[in-house]
Amino acid sequence: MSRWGRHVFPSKIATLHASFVLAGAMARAFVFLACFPSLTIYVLPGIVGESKRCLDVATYCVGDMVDYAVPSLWLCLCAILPLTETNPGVGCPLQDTTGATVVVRLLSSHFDELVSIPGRVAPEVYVMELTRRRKVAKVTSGSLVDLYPHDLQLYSVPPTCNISLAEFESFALDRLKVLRVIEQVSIKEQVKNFEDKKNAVLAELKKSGLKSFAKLIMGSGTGCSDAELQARKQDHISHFILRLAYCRSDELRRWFLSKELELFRLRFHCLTPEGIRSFLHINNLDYSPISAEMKASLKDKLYESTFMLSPTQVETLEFYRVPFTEVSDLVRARKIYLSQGYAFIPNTEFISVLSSIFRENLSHALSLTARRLPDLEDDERLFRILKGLHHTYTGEDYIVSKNKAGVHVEEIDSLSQKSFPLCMRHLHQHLRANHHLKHGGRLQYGLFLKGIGLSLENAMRFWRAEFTRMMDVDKFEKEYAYNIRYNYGKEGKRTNYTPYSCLKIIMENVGAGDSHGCPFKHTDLSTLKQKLLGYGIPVAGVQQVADYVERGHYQIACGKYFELSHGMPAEAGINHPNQYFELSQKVLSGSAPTIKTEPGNLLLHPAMSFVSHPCCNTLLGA
Amino acid sequence: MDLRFPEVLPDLLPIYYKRLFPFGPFCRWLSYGNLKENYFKHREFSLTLADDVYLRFRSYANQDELAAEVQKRGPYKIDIGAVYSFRPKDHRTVQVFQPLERELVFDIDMTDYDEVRTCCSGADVCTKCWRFMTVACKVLDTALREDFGFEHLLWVFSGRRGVHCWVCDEAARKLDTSARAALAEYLQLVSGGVNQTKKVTLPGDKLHHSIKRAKGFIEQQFVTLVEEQDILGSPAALASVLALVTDAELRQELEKEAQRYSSSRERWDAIVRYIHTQQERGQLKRRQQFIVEEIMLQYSYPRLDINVTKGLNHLLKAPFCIHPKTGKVCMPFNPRSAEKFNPMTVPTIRLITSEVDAPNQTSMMQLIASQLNFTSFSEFESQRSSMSERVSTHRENLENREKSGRFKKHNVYKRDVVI
Repeated sequence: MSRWGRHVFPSKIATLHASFVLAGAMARAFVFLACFPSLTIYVLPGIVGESKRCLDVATYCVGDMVDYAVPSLWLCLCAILPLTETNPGVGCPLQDTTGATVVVRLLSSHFDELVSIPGRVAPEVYVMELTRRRKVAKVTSGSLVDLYPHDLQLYSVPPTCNISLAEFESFALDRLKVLRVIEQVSIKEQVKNFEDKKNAVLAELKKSGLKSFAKLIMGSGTGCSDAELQARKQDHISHFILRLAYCRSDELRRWFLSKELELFRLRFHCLTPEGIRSFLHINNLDYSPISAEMKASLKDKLYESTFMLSPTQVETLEFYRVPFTEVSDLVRARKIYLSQGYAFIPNTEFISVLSSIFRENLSHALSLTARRLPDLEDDERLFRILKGLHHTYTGEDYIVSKNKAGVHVEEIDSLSQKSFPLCMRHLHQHLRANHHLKHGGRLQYGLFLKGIGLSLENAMRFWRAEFTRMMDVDKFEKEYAYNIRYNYGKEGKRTNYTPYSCLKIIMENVGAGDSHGCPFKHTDLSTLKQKLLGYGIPVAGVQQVADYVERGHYQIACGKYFELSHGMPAEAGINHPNQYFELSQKVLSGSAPTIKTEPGNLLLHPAMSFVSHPCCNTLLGA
Repeated sequence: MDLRFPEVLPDLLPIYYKRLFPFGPFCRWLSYGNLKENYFKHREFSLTLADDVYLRFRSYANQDELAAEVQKRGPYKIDIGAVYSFRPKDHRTVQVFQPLERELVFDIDMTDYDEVRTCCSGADVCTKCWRFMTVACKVLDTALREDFGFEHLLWVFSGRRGVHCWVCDEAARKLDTSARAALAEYLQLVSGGVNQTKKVTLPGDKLHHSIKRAKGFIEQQFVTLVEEQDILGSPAALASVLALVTDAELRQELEKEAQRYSSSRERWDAIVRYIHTQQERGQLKRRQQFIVEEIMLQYSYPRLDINVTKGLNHLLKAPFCIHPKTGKVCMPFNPRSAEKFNPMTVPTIRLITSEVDAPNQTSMMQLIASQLNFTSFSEFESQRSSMSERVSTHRENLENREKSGRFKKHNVYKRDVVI
């Protein structure tokens, strides 16, 4: 705090940016000063304006690559960054790797220009000098061409520009729609390959008026027209906004991660070979193939262990040697040759490497963002949007049953026949027949029961009555009661666990002896057919269901089963066992509203396909 | 099995912990050559006391502290968890408490073989069904060494009906959960719940090298398994094998072939013969190509409890514990001679504690320390030597590991990137 200066600040810039530092933040900035004795910092006290929210976004974004331990530093940096953006004379503030110091120097050298704009009423500006010890990650905030050289990006550097509140909101919603389209397509459409999927997604995107995104997906990769650049910028910013909204809980993070990853893979697949090359080059991912001698010595192994590879392809394709941890999906499916911890992948499978990098980066970034979320909560308006999104999802995660009256133990038998989806009905039968369920089954079924309104007391009664038919009460209390209380968040981590969604159940690993999982996926087709016939589904219907199952459309098969057993289609598809249950209850009680399916209907959470939530409407402007 | 277990356990455990439990090698193992100062200190231990009282998140500064607490409390079971970012015993006082590293572990439990074994079921094991374990052990051990390049594998008999494998390489300890999951699923060929009869389906028209290798091991043992387990003897057993043949026509043909014989062995030979002739004639349908392999694999490929492997913070019973139900020592064995290992003759706590006070006996700890000369012991002692032999396997493991820790560059993956 060696030097304090007092300057008059031009109000044009001031109205945009002066509000960045509020009293609380200011205090933090001062604390911070002590740690970094010679960084120049502009603290602009005063006006609370529109752009405070931009600050927080920027704080977040910049924060990602600076240093997580000193939140106030970001704040200060952000207070500075937008200034430079709006003043062309300032140039690229963070281009140099020495980071913050550079920003500050640039600013001070242009400061006289800034203050010399006449005729403005200006707030006061304090200038302080400090040195920053740590290095700031490289940020290029030059022209859009430099910033966004390629259609596809790994989102490693957060955006540093200024956007309006309206843009913030619309960017967020647009991207949500895109991710939702991706999800819908993978659930609903009958897609076999990337080409089909691409077309289906493009069609949906155009229908929902997201043309710029569609163009981005179809783009050549390296073009640099203005429209393309703007689309990339929006892609960039919207991605980071959703990170804020989706970093909150494990469930949200998982959903966001998987949809973003799917989008990334789809877009990578659409690139031209030239586009791929430049993408790899831009992102410093120039892997080199294994030598010809090595390939020759491994020829047989490569042929035998690489999935769907012909002997001639072994000759023509190039192979790369990467640590197995980078291609976990290929390892998992035993699709590549593996030796001494390294996987040998043909260049056709290169997307695997990229998606694992993408996943790793994003998942890391999400958890870091989550840790910093409390900072953001200072800003009511920005937070309201993000919180709004958040509430919409949790509204339908079925942690708290909507069934106020609750479900009684005595009702479960009859409900299981009328309204349980097949997976739960099966678990129930298994439990009744064997008086026991393995761990996976107890979780899946127990959480479902919680979701339909079985209270903890009732759950204990239910499980105890069943289990004690083959074990003594003592053993049950010791080994299983914990498990049930755990589901209700009364033990261990004390998390109130969410009932499993279809996606999770389908992806679940079902080991020998387990009875959980999705019956459409994890049951032999013949057994399934018999079971359905046994439940009184007509032969033709069973065949329809079986057709879907054979093509791997388990959720559509489930939807069909719903239609056959309720005489009414589940228009929005089945995404969650508890959704199935509630829909079924509505149909049976005759209160089922005619379900409207509008094109482009934005659904915010896998679990809330058809329930329209007031929050959701607000967000959609519906 | 000693019938009076577990009643006598509270009397014997204090002696065991006081005089026999090899705290030295145990802590040496978990310190990994003390390359990282806090590695041992940040390790979670969990103790199970009488009446199922669990003490989680215990941690100790050194061997003495661990020994003192264990001797004081006489736990029925000691579990080892992950190495955390902070001392586990203080986990409530810190904000960021996360598991950072732990050995990659595998758990194979005999109960998962209930649908394929006929000799025993549930918690029981006999030498016949132990054969499944030796096959599993061979397959898994080779896959971990060859495919993943791990060297320091510690195989432990769990004391009753299963085996554990601790992969202790540095690269393995550092794997994150998603890599663990991928690795575990790579090794889990048998999957599908109670509703799926066919649990092994080999896609494509060629065998993955890991499966081919596993098939090699399994083939050597399979005929013996067929005989011992009488896999095709009864009509029901035959039907359940044939249920794995998805093609109805082929299934009928095979059934006809098999019915001409009565013993399991002959039936199996007939099935294999028939399929091979069909194959040579080119009359086997594409989907049925690997039917023999699929049957063999479904019966004897390792059945892993992969949730144990996936989790970073999953607790697993420590070697050298006493199994509370059988009283047997949970002891390391050599995977290369897994077939010689007999779970029925593993020393029990009763036996080894009774040895302690016998005249002219050196204590267990001394025996370990002096590397034990097997020939110089009487028959009575050889029982115990069977334990110390295994302890020395463990010791061998430790030494390899320490060496590689100090002198060899760590086996941490480098990626071939040109920047």
